[in-house]
Amino acid sequence: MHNAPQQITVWDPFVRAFHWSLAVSYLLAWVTAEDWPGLHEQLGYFVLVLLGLRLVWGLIGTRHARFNSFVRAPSAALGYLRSLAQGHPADYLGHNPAGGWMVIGLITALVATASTGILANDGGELWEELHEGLANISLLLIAVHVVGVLASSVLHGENLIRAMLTGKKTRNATDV
Amino acid sequence: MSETTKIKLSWVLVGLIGISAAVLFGGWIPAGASNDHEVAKALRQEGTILPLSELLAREELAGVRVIEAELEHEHGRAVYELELLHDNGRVYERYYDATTGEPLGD
Repeated sequence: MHNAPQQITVWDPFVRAFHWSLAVSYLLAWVTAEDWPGLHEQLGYFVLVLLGLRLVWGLIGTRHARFNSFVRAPSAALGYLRSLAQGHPADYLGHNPAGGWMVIGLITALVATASTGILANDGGELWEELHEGLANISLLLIAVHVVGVLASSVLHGENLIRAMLTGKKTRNATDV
Repeated sequence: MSETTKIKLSWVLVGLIGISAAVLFGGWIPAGASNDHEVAKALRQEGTILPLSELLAREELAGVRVIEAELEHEHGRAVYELELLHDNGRVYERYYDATTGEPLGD
């Protein structure tokens, strides 16, 4: 009985609400960039609020939300990617080491994108171009993030998209 | 702080996300409108507000230069806020109910 699979809460309500609010906001911001400047601007402020809350939560939040629980040495990330490539990915309950670096990369890129957007608002071609370049970098990171999540989902046999919705992952009791 | 307490705290943060969204996006009443100009156009087409041109065509505003015209929402009603330059060189601010066109005090 102690070995029966069980549902473990990994992602707390804020982490999930943050993740999907950010995803939707970024997509909407991308779509509204040319034709809806007013809404685009508000979305930028919203993204900054989300990221600000996430940074605080990364310091004081629940176990798997905290940066010190998932930011590991770059070599650990490479090790994980190697295990992924071999088809036998190492198992992590929270973010895997590569995912952890992606979290940091996405937060950095999105803070920079939104901030330069606000600076571009006061005029300045340079900020405008930086903003667009950073938005493209963010989009690229998001694409890699999605591909990584899909690859990990398939190779772990666990639907990570559902886990980010319900907050729960399935594990044998002995794993934890 | 225990994990259980933190889960509760995380719901508070979810609430903060909701409040932020309400504050930032609450103003988007006519869907799809992107700025004051679009909002004004939508309200005008609905017949909710008078066209600005109708207001400016009035005798009391004849010969007055309009420096700035804004459509504001004050206490639940739409208000035209006009910044006017009179012949004597002075700048005045005038408020009009955008629905009825009646002049308002400050």
